[in-house]
Amino acid sequence: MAEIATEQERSGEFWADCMARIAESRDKDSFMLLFDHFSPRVNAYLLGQGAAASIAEDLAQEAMLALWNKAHLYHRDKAAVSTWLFRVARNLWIDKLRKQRGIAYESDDNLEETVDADVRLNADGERLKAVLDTLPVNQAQVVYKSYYEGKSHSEIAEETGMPLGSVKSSLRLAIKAFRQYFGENGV
Amino acid sequence: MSQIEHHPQDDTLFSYAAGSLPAALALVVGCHLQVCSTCRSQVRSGESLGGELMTALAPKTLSDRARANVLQRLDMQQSQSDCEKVSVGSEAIVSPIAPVTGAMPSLLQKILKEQDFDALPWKKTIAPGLKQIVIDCGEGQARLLRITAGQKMPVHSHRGSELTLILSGGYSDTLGQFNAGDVADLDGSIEHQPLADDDMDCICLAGMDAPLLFKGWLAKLIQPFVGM
Repeated sequence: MAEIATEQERSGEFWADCMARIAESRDKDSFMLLFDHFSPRVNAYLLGQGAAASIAEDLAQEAMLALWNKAHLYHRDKAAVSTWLFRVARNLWIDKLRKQRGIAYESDDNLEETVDADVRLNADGERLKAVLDTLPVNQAQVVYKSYYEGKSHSEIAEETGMPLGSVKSSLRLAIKAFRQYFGENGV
Repeated sequence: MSQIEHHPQDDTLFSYAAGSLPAALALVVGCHLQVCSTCRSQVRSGESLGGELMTALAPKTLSDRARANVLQRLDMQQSQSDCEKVSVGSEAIVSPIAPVTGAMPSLLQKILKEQDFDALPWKKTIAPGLKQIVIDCGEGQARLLRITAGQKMPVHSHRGSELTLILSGGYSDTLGQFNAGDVADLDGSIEHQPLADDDMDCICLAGMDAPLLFKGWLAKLIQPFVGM
């Protein structure tokens, strides 16, 4: 049974099954599995973006409740649960802390995919982290600051002393490395 | 309709996916995504990466109180979401890829509360043949630019990043021909002199995260007045 899978063995498929059970039968046990796995990571993400501890905790709860409420909109063939949750968390963070950026994103109701993504990711975080570890320091740093700290290219240039053009090209090289990894490991 | 040939670069699209582009630049990307399926797909990849990276973070467990609170709210929301489940019989509203028509993108319509470029209060600039509308977006500068048909802009480069989306008409510069739907993704290393097409005014949405840097004495002189 999926329930006895260890934390290590839980794959994208496992989490997608949980979503399906929530959508079909409002299954609380499945939800709490998702909650216990993902909420500490959403929380860590929001803290990294500079949210105060109490705000991060509130938003992490909201993000998880969005999974519960919108599970019926989730399509496993379109995105990994982690992708979906990332989008929810990012939008919540923007709504709360970077309101001005809200003008540039589609609303929450459009969570559903509008196009088929090229990449189906089923990789687990640990392996991805390994890819991150193989990147040259400046590339890893630029990825880290873009994704985990929400920093713009020019903010990164200012903080690291790298020229703006190098920040951008480092990020492009890192994306290329990730693509290669996705290409090999994507489903 | 026209084929989109110039797209934002990967670093721009992935930063948009990460939520880390300043509002002015993100707005340009958002408007481009309304017409470009290629870039939507790239942003989805960037969001997948975001999801994986988020999963790789060292977990920071929520308080027991938060966990209990969420469990409790599940019950409270059960009936409500059941209703929601029923009412969303048709698929969720999604915005289809819009054709490139030279019309105002819906994201901009929301901000400007206007659908027609001609109805906007265009302001003259000191640069001949260039009018603009400044869009207040809090982070960086966004503006609509309207270059008179056949007009050549002063040679300039950019201190920070600049993204320009052609909304209507077209222009050419050393990087090529840019038509409606195309994006010029430039950083400080590019010096250019756009020339608007002859047949109609070129209307662009430009987002910048730092003020422009005009080259030459005339440009330096007019820069404070143009404010770009």
